Amino acid sequence: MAKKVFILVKTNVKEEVPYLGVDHAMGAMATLIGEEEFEATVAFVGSGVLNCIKGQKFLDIYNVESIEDVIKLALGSDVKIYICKEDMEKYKISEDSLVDAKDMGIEATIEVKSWNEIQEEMKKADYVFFF
Amino acid sequence: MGTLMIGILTRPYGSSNWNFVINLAKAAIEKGHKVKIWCSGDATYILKKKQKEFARKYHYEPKIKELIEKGVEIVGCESCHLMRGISEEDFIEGITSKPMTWFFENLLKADKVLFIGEE
Repeated sequence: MAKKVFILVKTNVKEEVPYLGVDHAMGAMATLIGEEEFEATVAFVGSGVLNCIKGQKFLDIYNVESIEDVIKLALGSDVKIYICKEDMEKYKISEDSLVDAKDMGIEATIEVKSWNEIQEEMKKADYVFFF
Repeated sequence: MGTLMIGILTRPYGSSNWNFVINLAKAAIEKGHKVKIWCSGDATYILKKKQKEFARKYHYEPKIKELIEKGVEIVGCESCHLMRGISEEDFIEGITSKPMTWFFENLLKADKVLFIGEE
């Protein structure tokens, strides 16, 4: 049975740390020792929800990949991505403004979860990391 | 005796997290446990040798060397340190560079895991 890694990202889009959070999730998904493997979930909470807004222009302006690009890769790597419903409301983020990877042919999307639901998922995890 | 895995993201200078990690690692290894430290993001700045000491300021290089001498395994995230212009030649002797999968492979073998993320 896969070990569950849960990564909570609370830092916002200007920081390196959210990238590291999603990178660690993908690193977990890429790790396989014998029959041991990981399932990784990333939950964006607090100002971390700002990472999930689509249409980021980092490549155009700074010539670097955006956290949007990294989230898309994570969705394509079977990483579950959650966003906190209450914090979306606080920052006035609508569901249709969230990053998706449909242009890459990936059906998985960011799932909106209440803070209580996120905490319940954290309780089920074998490892919880705060980024 | 068990294995303690510590992951850390925070910068060595400007945060007291490293002081805590060093003290914890030292206490654990002196009690006979194995200790591994994974440095990611700005935490990779601690890997550099030739850190200069200033009076009454944090100074980590001798403490890192002491941990290595005692058998603590200290590993830097390869992409994180290279991105910062820190090559393996710049490392304090005994530190190694590994990809992120090293962290998760060793996570599975650890008895206890502590991850110190962003403050």
